[in-house]
Amino acid sequence: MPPNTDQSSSETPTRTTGTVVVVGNPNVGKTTLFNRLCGLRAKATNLPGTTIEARHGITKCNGNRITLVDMPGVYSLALDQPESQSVAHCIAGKLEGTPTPAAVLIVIDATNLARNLRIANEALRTGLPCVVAMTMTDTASRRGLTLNAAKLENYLDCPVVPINARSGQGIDTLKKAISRARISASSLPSPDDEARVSEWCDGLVREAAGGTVATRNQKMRDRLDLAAVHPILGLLLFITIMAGLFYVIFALASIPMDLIELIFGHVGGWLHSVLPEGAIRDLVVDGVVGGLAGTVVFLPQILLLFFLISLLEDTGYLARAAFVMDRLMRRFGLPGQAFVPMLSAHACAIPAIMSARLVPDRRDRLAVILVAPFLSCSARLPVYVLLLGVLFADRPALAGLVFAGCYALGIVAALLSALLARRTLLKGRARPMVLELPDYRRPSIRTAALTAWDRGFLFLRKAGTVILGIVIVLWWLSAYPSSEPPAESIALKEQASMVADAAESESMEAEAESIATRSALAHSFAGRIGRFVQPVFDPLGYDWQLTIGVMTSFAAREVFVSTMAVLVAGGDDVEDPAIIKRIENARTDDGSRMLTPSSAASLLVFFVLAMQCLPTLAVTAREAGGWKWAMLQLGWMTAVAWLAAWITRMLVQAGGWA
Amino acid sequence: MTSPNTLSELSAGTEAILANATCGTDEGPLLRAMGLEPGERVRIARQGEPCIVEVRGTRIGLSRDISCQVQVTPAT
Ligand SMILES: Nc1nc2c(ncn2[C@@H]2O[C@H](COP(=O)(O)OP(=O)(O)OP(=O)(O)O)[C@@H](O)[C@H]2O)c(=O)[nH]1
Ligand SMILES: [Mg+2]
Repeated sequence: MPPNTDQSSSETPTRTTGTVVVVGNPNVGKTTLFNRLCGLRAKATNLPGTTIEARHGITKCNGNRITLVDMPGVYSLALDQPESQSVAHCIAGKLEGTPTPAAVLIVIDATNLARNLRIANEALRTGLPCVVAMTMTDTASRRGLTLNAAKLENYLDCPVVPINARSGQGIDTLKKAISRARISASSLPSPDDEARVSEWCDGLVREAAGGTVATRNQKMRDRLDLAAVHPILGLLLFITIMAGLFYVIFALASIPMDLIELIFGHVGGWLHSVLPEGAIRDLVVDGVVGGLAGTVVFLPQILLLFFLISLLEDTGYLARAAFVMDRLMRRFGLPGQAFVPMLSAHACAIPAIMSARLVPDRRDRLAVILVAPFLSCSARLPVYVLLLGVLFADRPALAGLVFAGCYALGIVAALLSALLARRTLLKGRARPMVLELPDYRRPSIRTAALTAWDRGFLFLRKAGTVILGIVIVLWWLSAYPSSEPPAESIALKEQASMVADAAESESMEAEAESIATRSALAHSFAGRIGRFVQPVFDPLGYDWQLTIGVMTSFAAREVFVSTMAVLVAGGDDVEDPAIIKRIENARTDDGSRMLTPSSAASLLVFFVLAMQCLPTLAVTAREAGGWKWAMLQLGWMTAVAWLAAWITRMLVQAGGWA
Repeated sequence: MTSPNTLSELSAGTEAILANATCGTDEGPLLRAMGLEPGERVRIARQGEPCIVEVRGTRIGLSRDISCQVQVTPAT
């Protein structure tokens, strides 16, 4: 990894005068406030060994540098839930990588004071200096609710600042108040005595809140909720919204994706022309530029997905949709919230796994992360197209059907694996859904943009470095040791130079070049590994060339088609139909066809199910909190893929179609 | 006074007071922290799967597994 130059994201915030933890109920505006205070200079980290995320940022209060820690929202510090325990640990200074906080910034929602005061009480009782930020004051006053911050301040015995986290109103006052954070000396009820706590909260609300609350448009909200969670109407609405979401992602992301490929293509071409021929040029052009292009190309999809999901989450719809999907997903041991990652995985498993944090329960979340790569991502498409072309060249209707079948196979494998995981490794009672249904709100573009930026940056920094390293290694394996071109190729080249006809000479040169490339790959480490590993894939009907194709696609699946093109067709222009034809007609060493119907069918099934994406593994390790999960994912998916591919081959052969 | 019912037995649009033994499930502490405390008045906005209740202006969706265990007294 490159040295971290961004001063705000140093691992141990040493120059800060203190750490302030942001604590509050879910959905009260903690993150909005955090973003207001820290801007873009935030760094998301997983809490050690968990999938729970804390975000660290730096802000200046009265000239003091303060590290702010944004934690997930919790209803209480004493609940038997990982989130709740993490927040409690963080406050107690027991969280690795976060020093004991100097103060707690309690965020309460002005429109729901009674409930928010419970966690305020718990935070005040920790004995740390506290400050209270009261958000949603704009909504409160719109509803005719007046809140007396001075009175609250008096009763809680610590600064209380009314703010509007969305517009930024009151933020400056809050910044000054943070340095006045104080240990409350007010008499606070023990959280164990629930009756007293409610009494205390109610008493404070009576004192501090006034005004006649305008009756809100309850009928309207009831109707919206009824429609949104309705078994049929809700499902239709859900399908429409999701279809729209993915249409927008696919339609809009393709433009920047093409552009990225174009730009990297040009950069590669330019470097190719200026660098002297040799290992360095190969490394820079094919390894580094190629690897970067392969990473950055995912960025538009990731940015768009998170932007749109953040907008959707902000409207309040996602909480309703979770109930709709819960009816279907619960049968497979997954909660309703798992639908966002599961759907996103059809675009790319990387953003899908990154969005698994919408799933509240740790076990559920791990199950989702583990099975997400089973779902057919867009990188599998070129492989499907190639293999379906081989299998059903003259039967497009059947090809279409099998194509849909590939998607179905991925979904079935994912759901069954999730069920299995929840029954064995991630055993535990499925938590019945309890979900606050937030008010319908106009989504904030600012929040969505910040979320997208945050995720995109995280992806580039964490995954990008790993991905790049892996791509370089794979490139090296397939490029070295460099071998002498075979005699056949040299002879052909000599012949070509003697042929008068320019066109014929050129085609002979190309042929010579292709023989040389093929021989180089065969003699490279990758080629040797391919030959060595081939017995493993022999039962599936793959020769050493297909084995190399399968092996190299561990970097990324789409590499398969270009590897095969290089390997058996001597060119890597996979758009060229002639090259595709040559792949289809390629021979094994003993002269039989490389892609028979049975080996093509088993290859297709293998590609549907196998974990062949190192970038995804890197992201799994990050999000699940350890490489052991990534290894489990790799092992399980490869085993399932191998077995299913073998069964497929047997069935096709038994059907007499080989 | 009518005998206590569970939340899942009440029809949409009615109101009820949460009884003292709020919930026998593991979710009890969570429900109470979310504001479903004994003595609170709730309005049932939707019955079934999920059951949607409103307490002090906050809406909470509960799957039936939970709503059938929450004890209430119907409010007049
Ligand atoms: N009207 C209004 N909306 C706000 C205010 N603060 C936050 N919001 C909105 O409230 C919603 C939730 O805000 P977040 O910042 O994501 O809340 P959070 O506390 O971080 O939520 P969790 O991380 O889920 O616990 C977003 O739609 C915000 O735009 C405010 O002061 N006024
Ligand atoms: Mg947040």
